[in-house]
Amino acid sequence: MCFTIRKGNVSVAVENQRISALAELAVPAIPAVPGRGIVLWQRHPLAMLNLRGPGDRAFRDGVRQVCGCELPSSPNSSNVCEEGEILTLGPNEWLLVADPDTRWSENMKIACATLTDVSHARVVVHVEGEKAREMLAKGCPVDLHAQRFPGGTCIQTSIAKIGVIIHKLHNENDIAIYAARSYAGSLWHWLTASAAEYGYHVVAR
Amino acid sequence: MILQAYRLPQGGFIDRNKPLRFRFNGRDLQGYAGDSLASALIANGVHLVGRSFKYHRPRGIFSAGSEEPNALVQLEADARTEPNMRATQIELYEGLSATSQNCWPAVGMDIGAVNNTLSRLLPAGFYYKTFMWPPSWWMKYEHYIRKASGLGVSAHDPDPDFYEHRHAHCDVLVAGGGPAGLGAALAAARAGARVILADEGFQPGGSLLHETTAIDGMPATAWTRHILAELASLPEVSVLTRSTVFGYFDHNFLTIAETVSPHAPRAPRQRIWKVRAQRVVLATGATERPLVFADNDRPGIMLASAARTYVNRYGVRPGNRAVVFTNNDSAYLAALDLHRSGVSIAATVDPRPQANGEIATQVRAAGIRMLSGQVVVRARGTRHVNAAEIMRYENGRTAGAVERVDCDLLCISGGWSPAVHLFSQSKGRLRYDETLTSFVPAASAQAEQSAGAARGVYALADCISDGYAAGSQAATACGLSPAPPLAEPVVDRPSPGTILPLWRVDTDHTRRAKSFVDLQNDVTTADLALAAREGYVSVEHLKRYTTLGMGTDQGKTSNINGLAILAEINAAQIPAVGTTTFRPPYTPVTLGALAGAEVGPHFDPVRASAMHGWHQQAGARFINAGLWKRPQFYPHPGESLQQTINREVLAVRRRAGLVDVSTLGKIDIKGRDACVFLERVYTNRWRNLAVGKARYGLMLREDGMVFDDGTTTRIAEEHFLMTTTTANAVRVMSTLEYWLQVHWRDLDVRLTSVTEQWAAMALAGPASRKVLARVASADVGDDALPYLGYREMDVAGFPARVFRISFSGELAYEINVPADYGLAVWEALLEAGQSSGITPYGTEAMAVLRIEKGHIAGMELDGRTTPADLGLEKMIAADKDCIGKRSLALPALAAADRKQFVGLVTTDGRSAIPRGAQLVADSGHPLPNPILGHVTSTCHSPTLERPIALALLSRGRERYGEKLYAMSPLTGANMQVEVAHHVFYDPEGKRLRGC
Repeated sequence: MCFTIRKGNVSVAVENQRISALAELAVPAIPAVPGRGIVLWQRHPLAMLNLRGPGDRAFRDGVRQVCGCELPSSPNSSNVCEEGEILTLGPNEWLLVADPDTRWSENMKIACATLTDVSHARVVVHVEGEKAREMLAKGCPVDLHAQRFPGGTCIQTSIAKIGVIIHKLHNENDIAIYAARSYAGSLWHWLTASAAEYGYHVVAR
Repeated sequence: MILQAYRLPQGGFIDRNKPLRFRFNGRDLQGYAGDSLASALIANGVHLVGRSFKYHRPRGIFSAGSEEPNALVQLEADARTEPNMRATQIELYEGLSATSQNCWPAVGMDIGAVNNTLSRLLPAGFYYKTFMWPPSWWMKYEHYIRKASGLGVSAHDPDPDFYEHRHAHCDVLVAGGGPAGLGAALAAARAGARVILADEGFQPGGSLLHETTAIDGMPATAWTRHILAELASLPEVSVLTRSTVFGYFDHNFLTIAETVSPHAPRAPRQRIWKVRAQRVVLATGATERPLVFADNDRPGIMLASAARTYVNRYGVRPGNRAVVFTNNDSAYLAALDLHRSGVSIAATVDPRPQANGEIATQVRAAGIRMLSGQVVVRARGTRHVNAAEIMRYENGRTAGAVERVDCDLLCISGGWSPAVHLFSQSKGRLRYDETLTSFVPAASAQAEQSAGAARGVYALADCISDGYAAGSQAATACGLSPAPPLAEPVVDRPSPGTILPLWRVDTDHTRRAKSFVDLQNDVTTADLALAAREGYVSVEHLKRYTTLGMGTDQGKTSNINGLAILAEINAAQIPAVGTTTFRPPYTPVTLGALAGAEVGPHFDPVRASAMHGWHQQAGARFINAGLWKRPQFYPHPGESLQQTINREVLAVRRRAGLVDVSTLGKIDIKGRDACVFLERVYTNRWRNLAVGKARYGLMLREDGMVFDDGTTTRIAEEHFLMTTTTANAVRVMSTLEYWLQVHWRDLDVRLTSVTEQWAAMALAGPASRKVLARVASADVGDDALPYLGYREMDVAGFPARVFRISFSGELAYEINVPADYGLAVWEALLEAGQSSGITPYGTEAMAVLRIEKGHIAGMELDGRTTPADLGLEKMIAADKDCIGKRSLALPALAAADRKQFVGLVTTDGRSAIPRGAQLVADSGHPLPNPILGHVTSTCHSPTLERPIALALLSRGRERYGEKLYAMSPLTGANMQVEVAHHVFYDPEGKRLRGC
């Protein structure tokens, strides 16, 4: 990911020195509660860009040409492309998510678009397992049932008073949770406390 | 161990191969798996389980369900104790321990029972009448009243268990798992709906669990198991047991309290379900009504349906010799079941001239003595009923001689009332049905329908098919194809006769005895008559005056009788009297369950900066700033609080300090019209701000009061970075979005909150430049980075934004780095500053520094101050408009006597000025003493070596040098202060310019 301040390529060394807000928590070595109901893993480091723009046809064309990825066409939905994912946050706001070495950058020139680097602003935790939906229901008021929340859906809601984006990538049992970085510790506590009933383990992906 | 003398040799839903030991009032007893505590007590011949609320009269087990008014026990002891638990609903488990409530020293010998003797002195409204005067004594009275009356006691120790909430969504929520509920769940499930069936019992089935009749050729219990097995096989169906739907709110949002099975590992003790249902089927059944006669509260008197439950479901005999007193046919089923189980039926008593339903015929055929046209006028016996006194009943009056019939069980039935509680909570409208003598649902207010006994459909076959139809309709309303029709369940059930309304048995013979309407609150017919005489004609007033229908049972067995008696007394119609309001919860819910997991440190989430772990290791004490945890100070061993703050402040003034300011709000503003936008939002001018420069900005609310302040930096021609105060970060962002989305849609401006993206730290003090230069990739000298300048560079090898801004009044830099690098940069700066004596400082030192410098903060931005009040009138650009500017022209906002921002020093130079102190001209002035102003911020200034304060003072700027008094009603402090300019330190600003 290009970093505006440096206007050049940030060395891989700097990327490797990113310390996640969950660095001391989401550690696979920590013995978890026995059982295979839930798997937790942190997706880090990530490149994230906040995209704002009018959402009209010309704008969508511009995004497609520059990013190589179509903007999602309906509210609360996402598109997954080779380069990364685009999550809808509002009628004129999207979140671009990709691996750190992505060519997507704040400096991409898209007409009428505003891109802002928010790579460090959120933590992303994946909750996997057949009990994932049941576990999240302890704090999430949104219906995550596949009928109502198919793969590709992303919504903004709260879990235990923490504002989150919930993104179901493909299938029922893999749910990504985005929370503001400062809430990472509280979110992690909630996740592990809620998963304890089913047994969980923390893995690195 | 006492044998279960009253246990039947066979039958019931209990497992005689699984005996369970339990303890009641210190006695070791035995029951079986499948028992309730009440049935296990009855099996052991224990009927006296408690004392009543007011008169301390002996009370027994009255019902077999959640309507129980009497048999409330204290379950377990110490930290896990729970008061007011209905013995009828407690599932027996190995080692259970319970005690009676409201009796001392023991349930059999209770001192408080003297209240019964003194009862003529304790009429309805007794508390209101007696303890009114003198008013100041109420606190004393209350203490003793609380002790003398009342129910169980709550736990005093911290709760060792945990609780949780669970959100759920479904197409069809079915409340109640009896015949109608099972039918509804089955139909909805077969149609493919997502179904939640919640039943309050520990075994679903409701009345099916005590039905003796066959359904579809199999016993009712087998049929129930069959249906439950089908429901369990469907993935989209959840059957919740021990789960009471206790609240029905708007938008089909319902709440369920679940007591989690004690066998589930690592599970919470209780769980609150928050259910959003497309459709709701209320299959909540009906509650049997008692009959009201003299001394109708004696142990051994129970609802006829409860007696059936004990015999059929639990296999226990609630007595040896029974009298059944009823005004309808349903209780004859109890007579038959008791008779079959070996209980001798001394007589059935019925006020109707002739009980002519088919069930009554069966009773007659069984050779049971049936007394028609007669009523029980009084129960005899104190600690247990030992006889019923019976008289003839003609034209609504008793007549003839009293016949005494010995018995140890008196089963009563006054008819049935549909459990319309949830329906009424949903705002549905009730209708009084004369034929059924009860209120039934009339018109729904939400996407809901009642089924079965909950709407007055009582025959078993009808309940099942009514429920099935309701479930099918509900599924159809969700857009699903209806379930295949149910073959009419073949149920052998004779048709019932008609009910004769009988609300109370009133006879001269028993004038001095008590006839209880509300057993839990000891409300008698005499209390209702007294309240009516005193003018309480509204049923809502009657409830509050007499306490009828209050308490943990909320009058489930007393409300309808009470209002019918009130109607009788006032010669009114029952529908005209109406019901009291049904409110959640249907049955009591524990506070632990309502709180859920959000307790203790997890009451709210915590926000922590990227450097939080470092602060913790450095021994910082934290202060809450909203949800943020901010380092307040970093105490060294042996330091006092004041010494710590002084050390941190002086380090900044003399050398260098480093403070974590990540919590400040940061908003990225981009677009062609970004500058125009800022001009409208802020009071001051932004057009002339050069790229690479920062400026202090002031924001008003529409009413002209100062809303927020902070610096905004022009990062590029069409790119600004705004900072806000920590407290207003979210509010400013949403306010700016509001203006852009609603009012200024023509502006090309886009906002992104970047508060969380950047870790921010302020490096302040005369040595700060030297420290920064050691780790910065660019020149940070005064020419390259002058005061209010901005540059991008590497700091310690990480990309950073560096701002030359100062809150402390010293030469200072604010350094922002992407948050994942925050800790590394923080540590690098401390290391670079070690030789310069760099000191991390917290919010206390930061506050002292800004008070010395006279900067405004949250205490001054209290929503009542204008820019002029704060001495910031020069920040209002004359040649442009901005939000709130027009309001400043209001006369009140320009008044000469407004409070103005000033500084204060104590004249003795020593005494600390308390925050919130009121400023007065004369401390000896008689009250009310005219208040001229108040102290907003206060500290000891280690720089000036004296206490100083900031204040808002009427005509403050005219009063420099004037001596006033600061009086604090909170601390009792009263001291002389001198008014000064609000900038105490470096008023020329030489230091922050680093000259």
